[in-house]
Amino acid sequence: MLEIEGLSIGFRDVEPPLEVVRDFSLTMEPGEIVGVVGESGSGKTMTALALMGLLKSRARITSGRMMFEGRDLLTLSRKGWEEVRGKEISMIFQEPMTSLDPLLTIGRQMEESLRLHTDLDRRERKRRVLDMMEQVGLPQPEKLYGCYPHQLSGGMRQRVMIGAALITNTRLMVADEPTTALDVTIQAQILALLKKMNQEHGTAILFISHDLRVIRSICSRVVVMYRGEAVEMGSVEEVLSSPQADHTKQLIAAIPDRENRLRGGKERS
Amino acid sequence: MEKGFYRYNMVVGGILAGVMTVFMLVGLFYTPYDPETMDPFLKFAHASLAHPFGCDQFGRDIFSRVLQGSGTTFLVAVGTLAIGAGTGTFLGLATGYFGGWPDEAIMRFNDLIVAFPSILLALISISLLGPGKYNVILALGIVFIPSFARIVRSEVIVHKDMDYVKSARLMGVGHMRILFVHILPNIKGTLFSALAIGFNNAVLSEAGMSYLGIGVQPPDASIGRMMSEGQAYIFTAPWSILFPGVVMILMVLGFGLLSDGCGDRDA
Repeated sequence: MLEIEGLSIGFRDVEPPLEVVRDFSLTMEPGEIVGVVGESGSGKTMTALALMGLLKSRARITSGRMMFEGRDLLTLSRKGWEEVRGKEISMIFQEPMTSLDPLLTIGRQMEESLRLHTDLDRRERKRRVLDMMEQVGLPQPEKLYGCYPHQLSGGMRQRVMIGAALITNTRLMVADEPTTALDVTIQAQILALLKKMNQEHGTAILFISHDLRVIRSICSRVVVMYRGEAVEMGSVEEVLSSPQADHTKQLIAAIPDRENRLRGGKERS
Repeated sequence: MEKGFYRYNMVVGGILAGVMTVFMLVGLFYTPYDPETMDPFLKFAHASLAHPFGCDQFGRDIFSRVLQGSGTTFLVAVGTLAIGAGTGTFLGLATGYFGGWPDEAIMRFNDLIVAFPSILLALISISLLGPGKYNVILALGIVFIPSFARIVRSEVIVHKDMDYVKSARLMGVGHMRILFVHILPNIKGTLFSALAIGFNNAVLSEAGMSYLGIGVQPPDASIGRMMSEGQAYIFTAPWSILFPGVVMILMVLGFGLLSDGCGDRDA
């Protein structure tokens, strides 16, 4: 479904030219959840933005190929991108507190994609939105429909974002650190929701995170990025149980869980 | 104290601006006496029930003239804002959002206009176009473009990188829709307060130009012109300059307070 091959992204207007993503390749099958893990600045978000055609104008794709369902994304026109974005590929961010327009009601924001990409009339759109609110676990959809973002908690806003991203039955959702800004219990709920939506709608998810624990709980495959390069790729179990790259080992060692603490204690004693 | 203080500003400003707007609107359509009719028996008549603001050196009813004059002022101010704020907002949206060399070119041209004393610029335009209500609107309108362009531009630059705009882009929203449906409503607080200040400046500029004799021309009454005419009688008949002055102060005060209130509510 998605095929990224030898993607490089760089800034050309600085001296010396800076390459932030080097020779990145990734394939995704429909309905798959693939994780991208790496420290801050490793090029995860740049890759995601390139996939959405939203790189800042200073950043350029210097080489590589991106195919989505047989279409070459790199040759799309502006109009072409506007057709793909939101309809076939959507994205959610880390910060659910700021990702919603403060002056538009929840219902209005969730129906934006429908408004842009379908010919549904107002009543039909509202029905779809209410239905989606139900699916993403927002209580009292009728009441929330007319609420403004500031009246909702962070977890609820992230549910709204997920609902808005999936309402047009998108084929692929890019989730850029969607749980990082949430506390642990809400984080678990959102992960469960993403998994549920993935199973029910068959939407593939490219899950970007710096947290291997989160990746482990939701992804089937994982790509480890370090300084703009994919240093390791494979199924989650494989990568976690027998990491090959040094950086992967460091990331695993950085998981503050019980086993690690015990192991650390043994070594010291 | 801060919050209450500003809310108080907003309420007082709102009421005052509202009353003055009604006053100006009435002045466009109705005056108790014909503002042009001269009556030698009423020359410098004191304020009375029949003539609440008294009469001027030609025996014209000052209240009627102030009413009509503020109507003219209102028209000029609104026209100026329509041109200045309309064009300025449009330029600010475009340059702030798209950036690049058009932004650079337009903003430098903006700087050029700003670097010129605005009253001088208006004077030049008037000497090219000739005096009169509509030319004043055009001249002031052009002078007002840069400030709106700059205010809107800086707000757009702040908002265009916010996550909600990014999310909208990610849903496939086009540039025009982002600008007018997503960004513009979010900067309207700032825009309103700039509009209220702009209205004030337009009122004062029009009065200033009319005072200098290059603004509104007879037979149209204007507050600025009344003050310039009344100046000669400031000691013998102070009411002929006092009342137009007071009306203008109330007008400017009302919109000024309103602007303060708007700005705070937005913050």
